[in-house]
Amino acid sequence: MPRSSRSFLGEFEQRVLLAILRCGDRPRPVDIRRELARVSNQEISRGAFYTTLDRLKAKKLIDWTTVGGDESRGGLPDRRCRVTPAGLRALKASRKTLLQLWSGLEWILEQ
Amino acid sequence: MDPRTMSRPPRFAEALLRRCLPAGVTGLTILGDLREDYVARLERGQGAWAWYWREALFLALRYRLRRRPDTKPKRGRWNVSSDAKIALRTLARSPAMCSVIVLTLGTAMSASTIGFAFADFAVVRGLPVDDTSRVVAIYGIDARQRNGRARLSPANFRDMKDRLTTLDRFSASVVGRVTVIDRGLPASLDAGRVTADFFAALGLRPVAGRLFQAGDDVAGAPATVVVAHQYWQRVFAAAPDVIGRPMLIDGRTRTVIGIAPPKLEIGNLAPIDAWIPLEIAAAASPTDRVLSTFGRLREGVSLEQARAEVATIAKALSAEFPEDNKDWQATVVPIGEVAYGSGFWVVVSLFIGAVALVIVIACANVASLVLARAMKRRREIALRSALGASRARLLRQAVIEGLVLSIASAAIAVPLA
Repeated sequence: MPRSSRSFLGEFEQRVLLAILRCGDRPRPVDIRRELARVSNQEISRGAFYTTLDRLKAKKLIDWTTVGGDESRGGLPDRRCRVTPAGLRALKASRKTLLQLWSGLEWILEQ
Repeated sequence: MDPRTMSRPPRFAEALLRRCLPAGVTGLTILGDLREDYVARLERGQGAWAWYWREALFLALRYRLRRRPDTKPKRGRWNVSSDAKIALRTLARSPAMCSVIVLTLGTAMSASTIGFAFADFAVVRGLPVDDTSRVVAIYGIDARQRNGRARLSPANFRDMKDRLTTLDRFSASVVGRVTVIDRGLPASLDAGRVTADFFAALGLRPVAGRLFQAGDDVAGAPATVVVAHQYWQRVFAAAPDVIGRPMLIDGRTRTVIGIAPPKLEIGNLAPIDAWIPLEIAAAASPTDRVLSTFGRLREGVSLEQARAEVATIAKALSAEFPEDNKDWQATVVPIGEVAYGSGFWVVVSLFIGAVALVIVIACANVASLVLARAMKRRREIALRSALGASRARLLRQAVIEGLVLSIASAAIAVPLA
């Protein structure tokens, strides 16, 4: 089993991975961050976001390619992100673990 | 205003980001994202300048504080530069106390350097003379001026040299300044004018070439010069082909015939640059008592025998030339006594003792200051210890701080000494 699927995902890491998947085909970090802010209804710390992207890349859970930037970016390059198969496996494992932990505790949701 | 200028984020904030973000394309993509959001805010009519600064500061702080894998200190690794930085920062917090410590230690160091240089000259190196027991100085005794160590006149030196039998070599010297033309520019040198026997009387050998020999100090002899070892190194850059080069000294071209040995240079007490032959016969004032004289006892001749002979000759000269030598006598003094004097060792001992005392007092003062400082830092040390600093780590920090103070003190001591 790859090491990445064994490693636990932090909550923010899960949210970033899910946001990438929600954005569709190879989203840009700007769009991922906007999606995160929209869904969670709160401002996302830029520093936390970028360092999490770096960490996920280091864990090989996401990957990106670099493309040239347009005029609105002053010609600075941009990234196109995607969740790797290892990232998908980690997400599934994390969801499975969470659901197992939630199992039998549904009554809490009703309180 | 130019819309392109408008869409450009604050320059300094961007420069800060370029410095703090990861190098390479990843950092540039983050910069691009930020600029895109900046432009979007401008288009929406929202305040963008202050927003950009805030974002840049937080982002820069985040990346600066993040521990990078390549800068993570390894366990047990001696990170001297990091310790030195911490030491400098800690010392900079109490500049007055550090200045006092550095000045105290610097002064003590310079005093001890001077003291030990003197001791080195007096005790370790000794006189630059071969077989000191046989080298003697001859002094005149001027009863009228109550001077027991008067110099000799050229006339008396010449007469005495002709009559002396107990001395193997008998030389005279006088020190003065000469002017040398070096590459078209005049320079003043300290020169020793010596008779041909001077180096032989002291038992010295040249570093290169030859020293003076019989015939070099007589009228009509080729004009020669022996350069001092330090002058050869300083001015001729220790050139091996200096022998035979001409030197224009006091308007006369002299040929360099040799390099004097370095042991003749005693610190900076006798900074002679060049040695020139002294023509006794050509002395402008034969009766002026300006010559220092040295001689070497013949094999088997005792000091008392030489003294007796010199006294006899002086008495005879006094009788023969009463105008110049009325009540004039002469004596022989061993070179060791000339250099050091009878109370020399007492003076040297007292001097070294005084220097040692200065160092002890300075160290005691510095120790009390450092101790007082350590007492003030008890909380800081306790905090470091609580945060995980080992005893060795704390000790290492203290040692580094001490080293930093010592290096600063040495930097002050060197020019002072």
